Amino acid sequence: MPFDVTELVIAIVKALVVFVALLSIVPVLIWMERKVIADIQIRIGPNRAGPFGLLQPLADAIKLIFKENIITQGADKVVYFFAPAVSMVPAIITFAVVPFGDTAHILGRKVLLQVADVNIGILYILALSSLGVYGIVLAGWSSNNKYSLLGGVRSSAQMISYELPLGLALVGPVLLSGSLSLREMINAQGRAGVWFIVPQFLAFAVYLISGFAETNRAPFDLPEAEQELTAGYHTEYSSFRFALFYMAEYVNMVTVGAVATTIFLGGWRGPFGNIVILQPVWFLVKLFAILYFFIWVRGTLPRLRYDKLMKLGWKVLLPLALLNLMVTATVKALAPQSAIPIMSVLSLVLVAIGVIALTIISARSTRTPASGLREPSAEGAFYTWES
Amino acid sequence: MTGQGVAFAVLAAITIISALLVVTIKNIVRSALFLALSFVGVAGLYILLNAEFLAAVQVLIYVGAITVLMLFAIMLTQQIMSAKISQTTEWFWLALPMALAMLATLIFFFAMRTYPVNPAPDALAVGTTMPLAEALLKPYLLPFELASFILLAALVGAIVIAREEKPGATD
Amino acid sequence: MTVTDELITSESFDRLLAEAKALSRREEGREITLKCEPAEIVRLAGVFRDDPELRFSFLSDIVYVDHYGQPGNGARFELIYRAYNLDDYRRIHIRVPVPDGQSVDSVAGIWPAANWYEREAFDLMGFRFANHPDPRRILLPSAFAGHPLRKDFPIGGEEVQFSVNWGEIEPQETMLDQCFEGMTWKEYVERGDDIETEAGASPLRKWAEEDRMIINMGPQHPSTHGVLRLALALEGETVLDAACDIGFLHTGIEKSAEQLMFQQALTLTDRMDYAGPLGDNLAYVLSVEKLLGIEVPPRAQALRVMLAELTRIASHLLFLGTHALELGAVSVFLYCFQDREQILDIFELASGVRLMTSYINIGGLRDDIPEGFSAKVREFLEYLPPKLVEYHALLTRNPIWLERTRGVGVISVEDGIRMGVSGANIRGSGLKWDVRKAWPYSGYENYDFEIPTGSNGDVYDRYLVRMEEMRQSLRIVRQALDNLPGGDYRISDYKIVLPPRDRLAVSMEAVIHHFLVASRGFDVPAGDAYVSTESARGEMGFHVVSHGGPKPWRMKMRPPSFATLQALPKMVTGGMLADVVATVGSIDIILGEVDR
Repeated sequence: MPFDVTELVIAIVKALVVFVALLSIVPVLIWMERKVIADIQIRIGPNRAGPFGLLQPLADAIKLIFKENIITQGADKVVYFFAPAVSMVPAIITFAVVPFGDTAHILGRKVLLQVADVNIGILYILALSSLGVYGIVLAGWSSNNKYSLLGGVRSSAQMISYELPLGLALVGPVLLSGSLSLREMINAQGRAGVWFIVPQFLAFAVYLISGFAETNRAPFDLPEAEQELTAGYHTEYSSFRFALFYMAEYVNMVTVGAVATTIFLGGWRGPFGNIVILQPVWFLVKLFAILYFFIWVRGTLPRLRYDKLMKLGWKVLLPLALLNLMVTATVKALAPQSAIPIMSVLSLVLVAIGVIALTIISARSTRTPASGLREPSAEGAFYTWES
Repeated sequence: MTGQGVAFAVLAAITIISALLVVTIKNIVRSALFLALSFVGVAGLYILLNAEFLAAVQVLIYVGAITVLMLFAIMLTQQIMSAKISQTTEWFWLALPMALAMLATLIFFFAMRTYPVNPAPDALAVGTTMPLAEALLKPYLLPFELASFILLAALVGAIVIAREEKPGATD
Repeated sequence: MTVTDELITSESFDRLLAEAKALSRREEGREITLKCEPAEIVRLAGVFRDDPELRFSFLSDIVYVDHYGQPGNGARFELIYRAYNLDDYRRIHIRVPVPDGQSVDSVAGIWPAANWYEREAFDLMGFRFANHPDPRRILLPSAFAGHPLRKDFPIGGEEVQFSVNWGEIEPQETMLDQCFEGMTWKEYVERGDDIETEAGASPLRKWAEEDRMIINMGPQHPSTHGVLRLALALEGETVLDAACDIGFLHTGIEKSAEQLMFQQALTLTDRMDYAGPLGDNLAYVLSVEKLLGIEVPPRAQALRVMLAELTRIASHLLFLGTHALELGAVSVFLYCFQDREQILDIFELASGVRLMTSYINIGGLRDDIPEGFSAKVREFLEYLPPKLVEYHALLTRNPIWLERTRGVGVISVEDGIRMGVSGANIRGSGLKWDVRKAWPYSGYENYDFEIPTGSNGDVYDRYLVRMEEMRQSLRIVRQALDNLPGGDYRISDYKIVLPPRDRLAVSMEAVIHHFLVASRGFDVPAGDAYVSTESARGEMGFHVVSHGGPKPWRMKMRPPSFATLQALPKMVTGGMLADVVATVGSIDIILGEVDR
């Protein structure tokens, strides 16, 4: 391949732009999370620093940077030092393969709106996101703190368990699009005229749930469960190193959201999608919709217990992902041309069945007292919220 | 030296030095970490050979899962993490010449003939995934299935062995 | 009612026991008092627990009194064992005079709940219990010298050693010999005790020796409801064993109360159960009023009930919020706090104070309720029910909530009774025992309400019981409000309560009364009294001993959380680490009350 300086410059510029954009999404996301959670919890949320408290993340960052950097006695200093970086780096470079737009024509050159179009994009993402666990495990181990260690142990078990359903859930869309490249998958969704969330709803659900676990977000935030492990793996961290962990969590969230957007929600596609400048906007809109969902769930659900989490991963999500894979593969093998419509119908049926089943289950469980309380009150049943 | 040559040298050095540290370093957690680094080096070598699929899978499975599992097991083991364990036994001086002899033999046989290095010219365009899949599921189907079967047997065996301890330990 | 003043000794044992049995068959024998000599207590306790006619299976408390310098008592110390028969709600007080220096046999083998009660009696008053399974201090640090609740313990002026000033203060020589094995305080602290600091408590010693992971939860941990320290022996995340370490919040309330006049000591009761201060006010005042033999007017009774129930709701809301928070449902925490604010507003309206109200006073209330109080309470009665429905919708059917709470932290009724668990915690296991029904006070017999009970004794049932109790409390408040009698809000005996402010300008007598009550207090007849109440956490009561005079000779409280906490290791052993958090939240302990 002839060496082209311009290509190199373009690549560097793209990488820089994505890097900076990613790092600037993080404070926005933190602000959004705090505001949304505050809204859910009938609070006001940050409102002092800047208009609507917009500068709050900045203030927090400045505060964190100027804090004392604590290293615990007996800590493995080298590992302790590197763990936050190990957590942060994979989170950021994963984003390299996520396309946020089609080809743009800038100064007469074709520029892909993507840092690198790797033909094994999905595998690249999976491989790198599997590295993120190192930061957590090492932080937990090197802190010389039992709570941190338990956080690290929880995290390693959780990540290994949930990578399987996460990866398998992505195989369905891969089969439908016939490519591992994210760009190609978006094009396939464009050709099919339907986002993969429709034919692959089950995979989408499994992916999203596993995504919660992969990013250590509530209700799967066991490695850092404050009420159980104080702060889990980053209990002992302070100052900028803590900030790195904090940021890594949000970058990971963005990455999981971006992958979901790309693979299941058509990526940068949208109305007037042929206008290149609109494509990143559509991408961001979808991304933030998913991120909002992440935040919403955090404000609503209690935390799972460690063993139940494992059970959910191995006994529910993994079989579901396998089932989805099997059905998709069968349909694809039998009817290669009309696989997407058939899968769409199947998944609509599935959703319908799910809704009906849930209705029946919830109706039945409200009839029988949940714990068999012996004495119903004089005013009738214990469970007044039915009415 | 070309850029590829430099990259190869660096990656090979990372791989070999890490591998040596795995078997010599006294702290078992660090040993596991160097194992991961060694795997990453191997993945880098795959990329140099245009085998991105293999590289990604190498990282995904060996670094992201197997080594993490090892770390998990280490962390669950009492008192092992802070312990300084000597990795050499009294058989070290006997084992060293054997290992060196083995290495020499390998180098000798690999040096006997030259292996054709011809990265498929279209590898960058279509990727190696498709040919790999074709190869695994067509000419090499039997070995592939056999390997899966052996792995499954190993898995079942491991579970059986692990379960034997249970009745005495708990419940 | 006292069976006889005669002491139960080995000779008179059978005769007096037969008398006691005969009495307990009669209606007036629902509450009896016996006197027993120390040597016979274990035998007597065994009979009272196991005899099919008696079945006093629940040891409520062991009261320990130092009658130092008081004439008329043969022995210096006295132990009072208070046990209940929870089948037909009979109570017995076994009084055991203990001469100085004599050890008493431990009844922990009969009533396991006695374990901590006896440790407390040893810690604070220096009783020696023979054959005690775990003879250590409980509230005070192990290095503490002396037993502060003894009347001859020096008070005032001692410098207190903290880690910051240990070099400056030299402990007395005797203390050094007694406690520090001849070492200086600094040497003692620096030597430490590996097992003591790591495992926290001797029950975990064996696990520490087996090289299990011992983890300290607390005293600085987000989920231990204050300053509880739990030492856990873990295998992975499974809890092999647990031990509670308490006393970090010990402020010597019982000792302080002895230095204050009866009406002043009231303010201390607020500070114990800071989540339900009015309930503790009520329990204390009832005991003092029983000693004084006064009956408060019906209006005060109704208002007391109303306030106590509002306190219960506030406390349960706090429980719900923190419990949900600990299971990760952060939003519910803030919702509950918002609701609790409404109750605190009501308290503020009535008393001017939001938390430490001291509003229920000896003889009635401190003030009459202000205008607008009823309207505010009615507003709250309308406000809360939809909120409760919302919390049910958020949690009760939530699969994650069910997974986290059902079958977790289980305790059976039998174990609960043995350990002295009371209140919503034992009702969650299925025992239908509520002091408000069993031994009604303040006119609770006139209200129509139900006692919700669970059946599984797990975290979920305790949660459901408390949720339902809030509704029942709302019912009581509504009834109290609807039938709120007019009349006085306190008694009109101005030797006990302060005369009204406007009388001071016109009546010399009122001025004298005011001066006397405020400066000297009022004499309370000699004797002792105990009234148990149902606080938000369980059976709460104050055993008040008076030797005449305006100050309580001894004020021994029965904090329900103290007994409940004793059962915690039983609940969490075998569960997961995360279950410990759920269980600690579900038993709704307040460390201010445990440590006092």
